[in-house]
Amino acid sequence: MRAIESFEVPAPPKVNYINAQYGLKSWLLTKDHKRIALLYLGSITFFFFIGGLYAMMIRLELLTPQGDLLQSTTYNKVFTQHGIIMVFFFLIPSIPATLGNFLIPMMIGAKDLAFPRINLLSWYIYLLGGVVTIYALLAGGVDTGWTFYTPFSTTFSNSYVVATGLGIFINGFSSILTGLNFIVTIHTMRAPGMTWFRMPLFCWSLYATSLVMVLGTPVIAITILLLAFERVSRVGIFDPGLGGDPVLFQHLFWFYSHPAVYIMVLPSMGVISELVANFSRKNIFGYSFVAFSSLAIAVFGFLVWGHHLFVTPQSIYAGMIFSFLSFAVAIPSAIKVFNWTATLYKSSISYDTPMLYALGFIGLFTIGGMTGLFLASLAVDVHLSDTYFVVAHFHYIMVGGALMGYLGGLHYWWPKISGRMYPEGWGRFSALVIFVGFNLTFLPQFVAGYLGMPRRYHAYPPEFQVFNVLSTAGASILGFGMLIPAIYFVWSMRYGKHADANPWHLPGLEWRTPSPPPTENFEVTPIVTWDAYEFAPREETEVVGKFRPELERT
Amino acid sequence: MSEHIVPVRVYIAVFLVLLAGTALTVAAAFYDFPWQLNTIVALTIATAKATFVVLYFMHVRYSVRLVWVIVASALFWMAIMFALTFSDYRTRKWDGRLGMIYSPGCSVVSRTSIMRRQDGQFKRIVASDVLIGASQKGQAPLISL
Amino acid sequence: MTTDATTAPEVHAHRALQHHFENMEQQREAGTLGMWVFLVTEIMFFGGMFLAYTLYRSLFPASFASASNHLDITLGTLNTGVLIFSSFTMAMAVYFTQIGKHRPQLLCLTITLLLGLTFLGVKAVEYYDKYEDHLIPGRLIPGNPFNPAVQEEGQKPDPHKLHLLQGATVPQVEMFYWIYFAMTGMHALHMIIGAGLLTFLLIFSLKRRFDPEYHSPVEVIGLYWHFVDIVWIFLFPLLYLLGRHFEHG
Repeated sequence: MRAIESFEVPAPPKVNYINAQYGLKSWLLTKDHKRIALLYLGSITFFFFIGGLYAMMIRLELLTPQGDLLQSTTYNKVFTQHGIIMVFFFLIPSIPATLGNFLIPMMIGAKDLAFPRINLLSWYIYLLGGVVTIYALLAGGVDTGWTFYTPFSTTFSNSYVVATGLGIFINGFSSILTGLNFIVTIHTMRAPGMTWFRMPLFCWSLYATSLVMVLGTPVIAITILLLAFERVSRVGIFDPGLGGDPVLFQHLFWFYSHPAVYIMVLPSMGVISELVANFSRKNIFGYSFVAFSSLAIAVFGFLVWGHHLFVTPQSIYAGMIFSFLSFAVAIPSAIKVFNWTATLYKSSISYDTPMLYALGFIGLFTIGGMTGLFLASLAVDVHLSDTYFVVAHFHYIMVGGALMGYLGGLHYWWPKISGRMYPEGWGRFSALVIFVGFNLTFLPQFVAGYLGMPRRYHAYPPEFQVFNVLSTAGASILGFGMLIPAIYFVWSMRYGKHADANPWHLPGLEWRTPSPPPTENFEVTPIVTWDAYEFAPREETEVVGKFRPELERT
Repeated sequence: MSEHIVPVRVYIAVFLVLLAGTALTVAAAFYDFPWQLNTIVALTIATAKATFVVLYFMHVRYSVRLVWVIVASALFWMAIMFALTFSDYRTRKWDGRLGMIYSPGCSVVSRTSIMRRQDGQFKRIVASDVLIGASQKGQAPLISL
Repeated sequence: MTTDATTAPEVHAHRALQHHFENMEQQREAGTLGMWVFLVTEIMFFGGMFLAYTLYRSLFPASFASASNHLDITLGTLNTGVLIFSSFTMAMAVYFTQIGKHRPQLLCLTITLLLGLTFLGVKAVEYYDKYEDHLIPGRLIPGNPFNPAVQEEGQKPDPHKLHLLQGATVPQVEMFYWIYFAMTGMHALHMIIGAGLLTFLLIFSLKRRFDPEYHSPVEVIGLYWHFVDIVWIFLFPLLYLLGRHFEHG
């Protein structure tokens, strides 16, 4: 019963979740988690391109040392809005709201999430937050940096702080409701036989992500509200004139925003676990270690926020505690990297597009994580804080890590989502272009930052120009590379090769439904008797090696 | 249904306990305890009242272990936020550095002091003080060097 | 490999069973768990404000005590009693729904709602008093900036005037009131939402939507209501009872 070939591949039904009902109303009022996932996919892609336009403006301005393309106040608005859109409207919802929404019920054998209407509500809240934020951007924008540090944001900034804050506040509820839904679903709706330790690791990492969403997002909500009240009433708790402490804002802000980066990267790690196991046809090495490390990252991630405050009047003793904890939080991530590498060892790797993204992730996330250790060292951080080193560090994690996981997952599950295959040749090509472009963009920024180039400046000393030119060139390649999947995904929906239920021949529960699946996912509720990555046993091969000659057989 | 139905007398008892707790906390507020005990007494009574509400009115006493874990983790996370934030504020004075929050209005953000030879001896002299604050609310801060 | 795991076909599904749940028990468990997870988010939400309060109280003890003493302890205690009573009637409403007694359930829900509205009314009175004494912080009310009258030494004690303890300053008192309005305002907002939810419950109860088999909304909104009560149980001593022991000292 374990060999893949004995799995019954269901015949493709005529009615799937896409063509079950026609009409705009059936999509806008859907309760089907798969349709909601597609609604999110469209909106998130839209915001991604807006954030990308801002990125393009930044890189164009930074081609030359003088601040000649944009005025300084405009440049402030551009990098602020790039950050806000990318963080809150793309990265945080990306994998949970698209892939998570689509796959979690299928991976645990359920018909839908626990609260389908709340799921739809969370999308509408996301849109509302987006509309309010876009209004703020069009009305004049905000120039405080996505971090909204006080007292500039409360007292001195002449931009649309309250409106943008309101947009982010509203968007936070979308995040909370998604996380709530996932937690309750995973606890209460697993199919018979689907124990916690038979769940795919993607579910584990989304569960950990949901914990972070639920525990952290309310704090940013109250922080933004306090910020808005202070700005409106012109007196408040971050105001030094009253004896208030601006650093309190930073404590409250980063209490969420640091775990937020784990919201962004944990789901991606879950995708990578899936890709690494499935595209090397081998059970993941150390399943329970990977599962528990997701939870550990979620918990430890809440203990380290003070490392963003090393160069503030925060006490040096608190700084030492936070520095130590920041080193500790790297450990679970490292455990994952070790386990993925061990999974790859002596496995049969197939270099399909999703696997290329997974391999890229492992390397780039490692670089990003290691450079984070530089920043976690108190003394080094004094030198590197607010330089391009920090910018490069978090882009390695966010783009080289989270985005790669997102793209890899999209490619991997695309046949299930759309019933079509994307063009494999173009997939591999664009993965390589993205990889090259990404490294060319951000590797020079490490050097520039280390040599002292500050971040958030639109004019810089001429000795940094060479790094900026390389970076902008890389950004153009990266941008081009990302356009290609956008085009071929849309193309494949009409002209792509039809995919059957299990195009990759894998044991996961989601591959036992037709592609695309029917609305209720499973004809009958499955009873699960197998582990998450049970592949057919490989044929015994001869063990030959330089260091074990006694095992050589004739 | 496997739902547990709490008897009415339990609800009435808890209600009376809560009212008694309220009366107690108001009375204790007027009594001058030594040291910080006033706060501790007030918070203890409040925690006890909250515990009764959680256990009996919210049925946690009769709920599955998962609900207990959820309640405990919420309190734990609040504790993290408080503990680590106060690890900053409580230790700011330890090393002689001046923090932001010693007095209302102007306060010193950072001070640079240098050793200078004066009258044949090295003396520590303040080279610069960066102040932040506002003489009146809503105005730009005064920064003096 | 995959076999039918659904219940026997003769079992009649409750009219309120949603299509994606196997049975009412699973649905009820999911609903309760969902509300608990939401309450966790609320705890963290209020937690941020409690943090700010704790910080500034530890820094400005005299000012906070002075400002706290200016709050009306009678109204505060009354409100605490009202809210505790409403928590009791809410629990009783759930009880009566569980055993299927319709009239007592309606009565308890109505009393809970009325008590909640009473709380909000008393709060409004308190807020109005603050408005009259010019204690609304900053320029929140444009024509009425923060400008309390301070009790001078040797003057006749005036309840509208602020009595400053040793070491208290007016800007720090303003900080207290900023936090007071933020916290009680946020609490009142949650009460208003709760009152709205109770109204829904009443309407649905009148239509006999709930029975011993299906009364998740009553239970779950009850959890929310109790939570709002718990927030007040902490707010009351922290805001109203801070410095009463200084009054005689």
